[in-house]
Amino acid sequence: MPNSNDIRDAYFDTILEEVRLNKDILVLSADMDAFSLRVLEKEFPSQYLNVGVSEQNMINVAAGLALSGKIVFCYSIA
Amino acid sequence: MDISKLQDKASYVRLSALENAVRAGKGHLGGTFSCVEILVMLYYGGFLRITPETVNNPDRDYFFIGKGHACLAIYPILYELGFISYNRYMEYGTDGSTLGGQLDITVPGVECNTGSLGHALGLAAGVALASKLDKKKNRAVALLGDAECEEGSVWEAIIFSAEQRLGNLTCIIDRNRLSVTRIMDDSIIFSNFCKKIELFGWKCLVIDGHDLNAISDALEFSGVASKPTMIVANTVKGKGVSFMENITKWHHQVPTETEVALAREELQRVSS
Repeated sequence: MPNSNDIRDAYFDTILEEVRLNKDILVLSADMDAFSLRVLEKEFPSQYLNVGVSEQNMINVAAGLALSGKIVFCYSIA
Repeated sequence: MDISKLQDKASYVRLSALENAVRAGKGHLGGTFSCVEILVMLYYGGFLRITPETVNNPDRDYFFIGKGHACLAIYPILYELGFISYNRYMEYGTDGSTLGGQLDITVPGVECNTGSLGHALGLAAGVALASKLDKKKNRAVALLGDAECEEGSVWEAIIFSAEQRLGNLTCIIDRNRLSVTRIMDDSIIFSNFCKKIELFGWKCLVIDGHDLNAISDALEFSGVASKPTMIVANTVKGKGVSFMENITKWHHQVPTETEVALAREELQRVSS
């Protein structure tokens, strides 16, 4: 259960729970540094991918992953 | 399938594309004709392992067409292979039809909507990555136009694919040397292209894009490569109809009655 007032923490707490339960979930980020992403990278390395500062490609790759049956969350800033 | 049968298929595809464009009064014949041999080898040469029964099977081979305006060639192929019915196929270009000037995902066998250029390679990379993660044996192929390589997202995908070592990914460039408005010379993008692509961590081959044997060899090679493979297919926009070849206006011009008769005659001569 998310227990923070910060939207980013609430988002990542929930994502981490879901990633733990479902190995078909992948989280992509575009060179974002967040504590929770570091946790993801350490605990679920096969379910986290840093695609670098390439947001267009992140979305295209995410769509390709989704077409292959993955559930994908993309994280970046505008 | 032997080469002469594949050549027959190529004639069938060109003739069908012509007839459909004329009947509907719209279509991109130039860029369709330049990639016919590539498409014929992919679909009829056994390189794309996909059937009407496996369109939703995640173990299928995936094919993403960047230059979706070549759909004029895709529709006769999808019809002949049983992905779409004759009635649906005949609706091309009519009001309410999902067979339009670009590809639509409601058409069985079509993996992505087209129209916005530059995304097919990233999509294919995503599929190739999923396949690699799951240790599957399928492959992902993307067909791009050469002018399409002006899109930045293409280069993002090129870099990503090399970083992820997506050996099961193949990118084919229909190098017909014409965009909508310009001649695509060997200038900044395309001079020493293969060298550049290899420096980006890919394998790169240059072939005659109308030589079915060469296409077959290249697709065989890319099927077993440990890096992503770029196939630069040198082609002619409008290939197969002499007065259309290499002429910019045939990007999306529809031929007159006289021109159609001439075109039909030339294309039928090849197939007999």
